[in-house]
Amino acid sequence: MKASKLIELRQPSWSRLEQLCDEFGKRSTNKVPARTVNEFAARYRNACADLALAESSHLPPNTIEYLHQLVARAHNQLYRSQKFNRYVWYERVFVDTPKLIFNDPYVHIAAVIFWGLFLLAGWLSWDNTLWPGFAEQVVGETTLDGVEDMYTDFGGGRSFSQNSWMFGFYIFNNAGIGLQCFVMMLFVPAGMVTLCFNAVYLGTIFGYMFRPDLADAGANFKHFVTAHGPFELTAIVLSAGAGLKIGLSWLVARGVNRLDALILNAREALPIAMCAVALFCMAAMIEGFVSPASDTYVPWWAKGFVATASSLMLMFYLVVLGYPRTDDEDEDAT
Amino acid sequence: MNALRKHTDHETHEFKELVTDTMLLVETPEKISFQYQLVGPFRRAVAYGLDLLFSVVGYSLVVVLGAVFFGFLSAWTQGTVIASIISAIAEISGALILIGYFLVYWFYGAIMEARYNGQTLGKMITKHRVLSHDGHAIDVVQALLRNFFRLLDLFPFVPFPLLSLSLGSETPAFIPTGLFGLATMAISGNFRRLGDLVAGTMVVVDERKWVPELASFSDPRVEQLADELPKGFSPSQSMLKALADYVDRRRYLSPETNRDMAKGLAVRMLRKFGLPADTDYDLLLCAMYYNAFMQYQLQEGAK
Repeated sequence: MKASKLIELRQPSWSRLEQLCDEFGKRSTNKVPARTVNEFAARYRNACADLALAESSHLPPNTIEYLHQLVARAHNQLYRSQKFNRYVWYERVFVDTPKLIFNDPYVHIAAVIFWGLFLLAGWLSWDNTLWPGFAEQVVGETTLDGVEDMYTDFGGGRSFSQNSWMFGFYIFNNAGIGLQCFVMMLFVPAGMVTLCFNAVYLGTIFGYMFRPDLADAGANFKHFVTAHGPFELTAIVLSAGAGLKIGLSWLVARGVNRLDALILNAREALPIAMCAVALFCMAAMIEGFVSPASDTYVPWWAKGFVATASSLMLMFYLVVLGYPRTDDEDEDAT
Repeated sequence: MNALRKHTDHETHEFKELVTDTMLLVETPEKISFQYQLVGPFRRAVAYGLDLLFSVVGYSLVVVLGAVFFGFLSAWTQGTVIASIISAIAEISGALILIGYFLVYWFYGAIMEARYNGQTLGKMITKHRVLSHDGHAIDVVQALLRNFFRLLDLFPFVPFPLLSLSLGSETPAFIPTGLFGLATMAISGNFRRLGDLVAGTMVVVDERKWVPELASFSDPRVEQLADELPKGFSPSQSMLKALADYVDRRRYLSPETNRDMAKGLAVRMLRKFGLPADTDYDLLLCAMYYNAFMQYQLQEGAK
């Protein structure tokens, strides 16, 4: 067959495939009738065959180039991104992710670093004898005074609209910082500085506010931080751990191609980071509506109850759901 | 040539010289190798700018317009049930606006790419599509990862005093420069930024092209000369490519330039065919093109 004849013959089919590509691209869900899908698949296979023919025999380069583009386009429509599957997501959230977090060494490392530095700084700042003036040196006196002032006359509850505004702000700000920390950890030193700085900073302020000489402000501070503490501090550890997993994966590749190790670990780290975002959001809800409530509405024991309940929920999620089962090992063995 | 690292088996080897580093070779389950055209950093910046316009700027506009609309509505319907509903919404509006902003800022790109097969609104306009590095569609995890890590690609943030002066604030405003992303794209191959490296994705052109047509010759001398050429001659693959490229471009150039371009090949071919040396060079190449693509049968499998 002549090249000109071939092109003339096949052109309607190519144009039709283009048209189908446009049609598929416009619809987000799979609402295309079955007959159209069949036709699309058939024309795609034909185009693939035409491309093979065009490359092996002498067709002009612009035709070959066109066919490459056409096949690529059709390929993108044929192998689309997966639809949202509810059952898979349930399993991801409540079965896979807790196990992932429980068994992840990087989350453990992040937890040890964060809590270690947090408690150390807190103790140094509270004690004030082993390292006198620790708190002032780390945080600065103006900040300390600011925090102290903030909590001295902090009895009155806020209005509901103020609370809801703050709730939104806590989500935007805290979850955003959590994600930033996760992303920054790709360069481990930068991320580590962020994590350590936050641990020491928070620890110092906690230690300072719990000093016995700050009766009023200290009590208010205790009132404010109790309820949302468990969720928020865990969320910080999780986002740092997830980031650390990605950051170290390409440095310690363990025999895998560095890029592949990065992709593989990022895939595993994302659920942990998303879990951290969810925890930040729950913490923000408590921080927005429960924590600032005054003593008359929500007494301290009620806030303590919220903290205990959230800790128990975390325990259940991370330890009970996450603990490696014997049937997992069976599955792995088969 | 980075794109070919994984495709060095003998099947694809023959295309190696045809693929530049702006193209990516993919083999489908149908055992067809085809090329994707990769998108460079500056065309992608345009798509990102459009996305910013649609996401953050668009959302801010919607919020402001919505506030104005609800303000007028509540003033107009004062004392009725609608006004009290609006005041109830106003109570929680702060949370709604900020949560919406959080979602738009961090999740707009990821949700769009996961839902619309690798395209955001900006990419739909600029005809780009995100694909997994093996040529398949991306999934939710990849979409989230590549959009989260955009933050690093925008690094380093530099202080921009002019902006803070105009806004009247003390601390300088920091603006993103995107140099990390640019540098990574330059050295990573396939124009992948940090987010693409982490998620294992790349961005390709997904564009509709016009169906190419063979050149047509109005000059009857082309056909006459084509008949005079020896029948047994079959040009090689590379010569066919040269002929097709020449004929595609000749109508945009002046006759003198065409003559100069055609000279190198035509002089040798005239000698080979034993034609008079004063034959028009341009005409000869056109005749060879005519013979190869419009006169003779296709030769399959010829190298």
